[in-house]
Amino acid sequence: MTLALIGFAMLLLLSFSGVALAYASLLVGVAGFAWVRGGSSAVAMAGQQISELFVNPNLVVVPVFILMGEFIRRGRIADELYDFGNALVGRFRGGLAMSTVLACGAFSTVCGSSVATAATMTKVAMPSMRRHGYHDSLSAGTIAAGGTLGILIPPSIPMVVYCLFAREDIGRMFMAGLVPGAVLVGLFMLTIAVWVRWRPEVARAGEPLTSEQRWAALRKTWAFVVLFVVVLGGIYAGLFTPTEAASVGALGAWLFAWSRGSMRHWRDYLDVVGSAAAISASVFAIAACAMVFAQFVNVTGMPFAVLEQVKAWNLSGLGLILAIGVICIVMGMVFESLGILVLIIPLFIPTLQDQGVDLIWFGVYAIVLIELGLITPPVGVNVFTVKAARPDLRLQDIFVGIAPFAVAMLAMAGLILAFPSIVVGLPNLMR
Amino acid sequence: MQHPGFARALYVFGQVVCVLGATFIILLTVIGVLMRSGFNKAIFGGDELTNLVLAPLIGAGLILVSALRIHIRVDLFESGLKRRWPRGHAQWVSGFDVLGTLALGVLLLLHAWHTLKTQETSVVLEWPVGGFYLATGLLVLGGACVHILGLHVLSVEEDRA
Repeated sequence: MTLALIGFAMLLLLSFSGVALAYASLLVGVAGFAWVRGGSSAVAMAGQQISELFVNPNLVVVPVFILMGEFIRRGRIADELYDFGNALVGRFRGGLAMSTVLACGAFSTVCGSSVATAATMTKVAMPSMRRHGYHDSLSAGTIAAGGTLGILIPPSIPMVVYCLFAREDIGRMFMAGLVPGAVLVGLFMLTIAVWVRWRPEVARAGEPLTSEQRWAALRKTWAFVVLFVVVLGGIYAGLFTPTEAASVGALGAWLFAWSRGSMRHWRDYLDVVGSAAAISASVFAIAACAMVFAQFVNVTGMPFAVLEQVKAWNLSGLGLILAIGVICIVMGMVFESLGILVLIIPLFIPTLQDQGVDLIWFGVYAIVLIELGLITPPVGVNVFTVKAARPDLRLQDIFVGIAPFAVAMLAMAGLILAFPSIVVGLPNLMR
Repeated sequence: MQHPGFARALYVFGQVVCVLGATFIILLTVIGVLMRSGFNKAIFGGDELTNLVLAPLIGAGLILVSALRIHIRVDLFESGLKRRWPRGHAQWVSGFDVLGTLALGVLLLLHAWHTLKTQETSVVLEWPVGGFYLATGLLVLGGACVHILGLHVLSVEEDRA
């Protein structure tokens, strides 16, 4: 137990000093395991863990879904989604911000990264909201918060990594994220409605569109509808495994991008596929090295010591979940999503299983709270993504803008706690 | 970021391996789906081959991660540390990047050597899996080379500055 705590302290120290999270986990994990079991055992364990993770069948979806997201960005599908959202709710005060949330939610169903969603939507939605006189705090806050939907609504890379550690089914996990994602979209829109009612000067009402114009905007989203039905419909109906759905989706997204004049030169492929592979490799490096660190933590017996401690404190399942939720929120202020998942999940899984907690339900709950970390200071990855995409935005405007959405996310976590069927209802219906 | 010739060549090589690997995985999976749904047949060992190709794809991706310096890290205290120790902090971070990438590559190579020695094969195709680990380990070491060359370039540029 003491050794594991020293290991965690070393890991935090190295991470805070700027060392890559993957390599900090690897070095501490190998050194700690060697301390307990000897150097040769540590080397053999680490080599085996890393090698097996690199050929893990469940992880093939990661590079393929990231690649699909890259093709979709090249195919300008996000612009069409935004236009459609605008046609639906643009006429209301704050309608463009609501359109942004709808577009973020829809874009998230074909893209598994919150940073990619936030970066794409900044370019698509920000100019239009500025042109219509929206206050920067509302527009930037909406995009930063809307971007977090990328990891809740499937496909989601953190969900895949969570399933790896929790040994849960990725298809069920993806389905579990759909309803909470839709509810969170609704909560974000409600937040905007309340905000513009309270302070009408932050946004104007848009021009109403004719039904023909709305119909035209809807028709333009056919590429998205096709991908959505094939990818998520295929998984839900049991036609495809997640890997197959990702591959079919990536091929479809490439076809759309190609038919729209993109991806015509070999250099495009080197850039796009290279970028997807680089993002995937950094995810794999973290997951593989965290596996090594988790082996070290396991060999010290810490997860079982935590289990004993929880029993000794007579902590109920709900108390434990609330405590882990607080840890997720606090860590979210410093670490990005994968870092939190790989540090927390291996530690608490035995205790959660002992308490009879549904790990699919818990995964979605944890991801909602981790999402909160993506927009809260001081790190707030999505806030900085929006800032990087529009350097003229003031950071304090974005942080002011995300505050109401942070409340909505906490409300979402509360809803998941109060009504677990929001999460587990759909996966339980799966064939 | 500009890289010297060898590092640049490694970077492009990494990109090409990624394109080939990703294309192979996607096409093999889609063909597998078509054969299953259209002809009720599966590609023998298709899933296993996809998994095995994933390893070198990630190895090549790590060359790109090294070249672009896009490792996931906590940068909360970065500006403060850079201000206090501008050169020392850069060397600390780069040093650990080199050490970590080398460790990852060497661990993969050692495991590859072990699996080749024990003649471990994949379950369906019965191919020696050590070969795939070997290729991955070498690609990751390529990433370490990019880091080392980048480190050299960084220190030369700092000296000039």
